[in-house]
Amino acid sequence: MIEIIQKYWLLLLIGQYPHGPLGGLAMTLIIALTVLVISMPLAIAIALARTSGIAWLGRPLALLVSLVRGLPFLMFVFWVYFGVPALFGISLGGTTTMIVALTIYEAAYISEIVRAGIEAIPKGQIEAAHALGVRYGVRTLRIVLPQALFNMLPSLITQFASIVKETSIGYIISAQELTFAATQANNLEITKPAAVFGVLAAGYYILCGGIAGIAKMLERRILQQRQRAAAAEFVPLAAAVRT
Amino acid sequence: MIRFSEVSKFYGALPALRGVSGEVGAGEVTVVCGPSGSGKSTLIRTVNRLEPINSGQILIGGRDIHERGWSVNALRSGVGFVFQSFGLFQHLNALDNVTLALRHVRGLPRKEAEALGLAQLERLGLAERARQMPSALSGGQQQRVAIARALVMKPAVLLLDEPTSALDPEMVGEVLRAIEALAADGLTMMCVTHEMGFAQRVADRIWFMERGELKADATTEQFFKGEAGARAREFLKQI
Repeated sequence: MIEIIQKYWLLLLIGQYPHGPLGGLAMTLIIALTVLVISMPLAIAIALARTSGIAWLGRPLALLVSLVRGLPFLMFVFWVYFGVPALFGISLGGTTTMIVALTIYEAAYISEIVRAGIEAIPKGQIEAAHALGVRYGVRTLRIVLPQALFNMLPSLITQFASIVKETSIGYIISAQELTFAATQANNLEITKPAAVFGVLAAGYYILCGGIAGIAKMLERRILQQRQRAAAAEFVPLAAAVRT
Repeated sequence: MIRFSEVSKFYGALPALRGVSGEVGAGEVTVVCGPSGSGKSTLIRTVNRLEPINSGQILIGGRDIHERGWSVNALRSGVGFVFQSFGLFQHLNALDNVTLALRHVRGLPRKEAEALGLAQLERLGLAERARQMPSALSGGQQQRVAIARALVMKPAVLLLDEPTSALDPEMVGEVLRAIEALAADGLTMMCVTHEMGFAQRVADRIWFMERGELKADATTEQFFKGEAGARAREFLKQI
């Protein structure tokens, strides 16, 4: 495995760049980050629409989210890869296809995380905001989202690890990413698939394990903070049931 | 100041308020009491439209709260409301809790809002707590921050919904003292509470409610002398 790393580290890191397209781990991270950056605002918009109480806005989106979550990710890759050229007459490259497919898929998943975060904000705070005459936009931007996103940070980071892993599907449609670079190395070596894919697995594990570790650490911190807040906001049961 | 005329409210088929009529005078403190589920909280929540009503009319300063051209947010920003469970924004410190509506409802610049917020916190004995997060404050302090947050908007009326029910006994006194000081300043208040000692000291009038009806509307003296009807007398005995 050391030999494979010594021989192909640059290929695994940046693909054939600068003699060919950028690829490898660099492209994996670029795809994952791009997807995160585009899908986050989409997810927040979906989550806000679904918690808005406006049925004609929330219901179709709920259906869409359940549809996306109920289908395998590979379907989306194929739909974008084959469907977009058939419908619009334009051909997206492998990388763009991956970004588009992953963005649709992740926006649905992340919207569920954000929705859970929004719904976990204590009702008393929302009511207090109503009572102060704070309008929807301010309530959302200043009260709801800062708390929801902060509480959801560990889940969002874990989701980023999942995006990184999903980029490996890009290999099927020749997106130049880490798995694609590893198969190129494997094709050159021919006889050492175990070593090549062992290095690939280790690479993903270190990256995603590191991300998961950060998420865990944050989760612990947030939990401590929440426990402090809950202790301070403790309402004796007898008082809570009185009307 | 606040006039209820035949106000009724139903939860489905269940009546919560049945034809409540009464008036809270300017500068008066009205304590609303009664057994659990009698509609006390519902009644004061109708004043700033936290609870919609099914029939009747509520006027504040002669203006119908459902008047066209008086938006619900404009109405609410002029009516202070203090909740049983404080409802402080947990991600904001005490001062930011107090200034949020000044800045984002009234549109005051941060500096001006903070000066007003600090003055209000100081009035409630919380000047040195201004930069602390709600989680670092005691229940009594949190409730006083919530009162400051309502008062800083200079409301025409302050509504308090069991402001001490969620507090440990040793913190009830500090919150009641704060409310008493406001009453002495002439603020119009409606307060739902079970603290009858406090009611006797502070209230101008006592409203006794039962099963959604306003059964008695008496001066504090009449009420505690037992001149507000048989049911009110029984209720007083039980407390």
